[in-house]
Amino acid sequence: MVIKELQVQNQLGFHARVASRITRCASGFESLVRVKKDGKNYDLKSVTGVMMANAKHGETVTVEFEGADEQEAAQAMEALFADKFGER
Amino acid sequence: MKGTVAVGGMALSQAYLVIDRKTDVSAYRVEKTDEELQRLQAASARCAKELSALIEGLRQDADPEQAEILDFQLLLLEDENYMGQIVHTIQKEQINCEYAVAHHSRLYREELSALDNPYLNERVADISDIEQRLLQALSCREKATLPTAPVIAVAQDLTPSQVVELGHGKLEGIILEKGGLSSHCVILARSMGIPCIIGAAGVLAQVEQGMPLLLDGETGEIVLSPDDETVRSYRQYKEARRQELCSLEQFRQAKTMTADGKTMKVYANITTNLEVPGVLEQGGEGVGLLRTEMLYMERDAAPDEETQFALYSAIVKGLEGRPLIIRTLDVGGDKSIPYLGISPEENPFLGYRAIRYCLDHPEIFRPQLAAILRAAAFGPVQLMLPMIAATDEVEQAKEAIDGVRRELKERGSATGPVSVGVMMETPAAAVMAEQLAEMVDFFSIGTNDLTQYLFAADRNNAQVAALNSYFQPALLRVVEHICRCAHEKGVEVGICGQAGEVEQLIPLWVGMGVDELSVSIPSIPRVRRRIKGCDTAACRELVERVLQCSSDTEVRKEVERWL
Repeated sequence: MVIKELQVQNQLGFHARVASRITRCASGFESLVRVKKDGKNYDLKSVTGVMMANAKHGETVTVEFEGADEQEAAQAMEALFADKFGER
Repeated sequence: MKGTVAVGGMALSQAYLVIDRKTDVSAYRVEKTDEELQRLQAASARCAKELSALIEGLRQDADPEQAEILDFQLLLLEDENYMGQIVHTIQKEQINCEYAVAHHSRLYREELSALDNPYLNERVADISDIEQRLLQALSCREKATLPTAPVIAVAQDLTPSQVVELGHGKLEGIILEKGGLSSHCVILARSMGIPCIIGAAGVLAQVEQGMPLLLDGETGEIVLSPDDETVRSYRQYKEARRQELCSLEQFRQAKTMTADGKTMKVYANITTNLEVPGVLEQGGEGVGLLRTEMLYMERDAAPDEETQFALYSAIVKGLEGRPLIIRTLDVGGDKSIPYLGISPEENPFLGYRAIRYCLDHPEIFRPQLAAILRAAAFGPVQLMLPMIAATDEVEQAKEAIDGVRRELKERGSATGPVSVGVMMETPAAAVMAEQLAEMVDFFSIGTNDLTQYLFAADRNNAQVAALNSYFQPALLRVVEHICRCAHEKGVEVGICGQAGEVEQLIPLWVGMGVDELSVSIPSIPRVRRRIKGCDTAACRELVERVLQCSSDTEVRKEVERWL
C-alpha cells in the first residue's frame, strides 16, 4: 500500500468539476484509491465519495492506494493535486 | 392575455408546448426484480448516451466548463454509491425503479445540503437533473419530436440550446411564463429576430398543443385562436414586413458607404458565440461589442482563462477575419454576480462596477486579459475598457495588459496584436476625450449609459424618461466633442449604444464622422441602407444646425425635416 499526504491547492476545494477529474483519474487504475478523513474512508473512484470527502482549500488529506498499479496511481494523483486539478 | 415584450414583431402560428411533466414516483411492489433492474439498466444507458451527446455538443460550442459539469452527471450514472444503492433497494425491497431513484436522489440531496461547503451544496441541482433524466427515460417517453411546420414555442423558460434546436425557420415566436429581459434565451431570440413575450403567467394552462396563436410583440398581447379580422390585420403586417425585408436584401452583403462614397462600417453587438452565424448572415462587418458579462453569470466561480480563451477564439475564428471588439467584464450596476462579492450598494450605477472592480481584482481581470490576448492569435481582436472616468484607470489597465502579455510570453503561449480602446460612457471621459485620445487606439460611445449619466436620469425610471432622450442637444454636443477629439488624434470612433441604430439620428453620426456603428444583428441591413442615403456634406450641415438647437423638440424637428 502507498500512502500520500496531499494538499488541496485550488481555491474552491473539491467542487463538482474537481470531483469529476479526481474520479476520472482514480478510475484509470486497478488499485483501490481512498481518502481517510475523520475516521472514515471515501472511495475516490466514486464521484459521490469525492464530494462527501469535502476537502477544502489548504487542507491536507491522506490518500491510500492499494493494488497492482498502486505506484502509478499514486504518482498520477499526486500530479493532479499539484496541478491544482487543472484550475488556476 | 398579456406579457412583457422582450423582442418586438408579430407572429401567427400554431402553439408548440415545451413542458417538463413530473413522473409518478409512488412505490409499488415488483415480483421480478431482474426485469426491473433491466429497466433501470436500459434507462441509465439511454441517459448516458444523451449526456455524452450533450457534452460533445458543449465542447464544440466552446463551453468546456459546462461540459465538465454534465460529465459529473455522467459519473453519477456509474457511481457505486448513488446507482449502487438504487440497485440495492430495488433488489432488497422488491420495489419499482421510479421509487428507488426518487428515494435515493432525495437522500443524497439531503447529504449534500448538510455539508459545510456552498459549492457542494449547490450541486443538489445536478442530482435533481440526473433524477429527472432517469425518470424520463424510465417512463419511456421519447423526447418530444421537433415541429416540422412553423410554430410559436410556449414554455416556462427555454434554454439557449432549445432555442437553437427549434431553429431559424421553424420558430416564429416565443412565449415564456418566466424569463428575464437579459436572459440567454431572450438575447438569442433578439439576435435571431424572433418576436418574444416574457412573463406571461398562466399561459401554459390556457394554451393547447397546436392551437392557433397570435403574438403581438408591439403590445405584448397574446390572442388565443384569433378571429378572422385579427388574422387579416396580421397578414397585412406580414406583407408589409416581407416587402421591407425584400427591399433590405440588397443591403445585407453590401459594403457600407455614404451617398458620396465615404466608407463606414456596420458592426454587431453580441453576447454569445451562438450569434456569430447571424452576424455573417446579416452582413455585419465585424463585432463592435462583445459583452462578456454573460460568461460570468449562472456560474459558481469566475470562468477560468481556458474557458474564456475557448469562447473568444471560437468567435474570432467564426468571424473569418472580421474585427472583434471584446469589452472586458462590466459587472456591477444592474448586473450582479454573487461570487464576485460586490456588496449591495445604494447607487449601483454610480458604484463599484466594471473597470473600477477589475483593477482591484487581478485574479478576475488577468485571466480575461490573457484569454483575449491569446484569442488575438487567430484574427483581429480589439480590447475595450468599460466605465473609464479618469486617465489613470487607462494607465493601470494598460500596465495590467502589458504584464499579462509578458507572462504569456514567458509561458510560451501564442498571442496576437491587440489594440486598446475605451468606452465613452461617463461625462468625465467625454470631457477628457482629448487626453484619452492620446492614450488609446479607439473610442466607442456607449450612448445608453452616457445619456443617463449626463442627465443624471436613471434610464429605468419612467418618470425621468423624457430627459433620457438621444435627441437632447446636450448629448449631441458631447458626442460631437468626442468625435472631434478622436479625429484630431487619428483615433477611430464608434457608437455601440442604441442611438447608433435610430433611423433619424444616423445622418448626424455620418455628419460627425463616426467611423463605425455597432447595432443589434437584425438592424444591420436597415442601418446600412440609411447610411447609403446620406451625403456627408449635407449631413455636416445638419449637424451644424442641430448643434445650435436649444431643446430636444427643436432637434427632432430638424432631423425629421431632413428625412
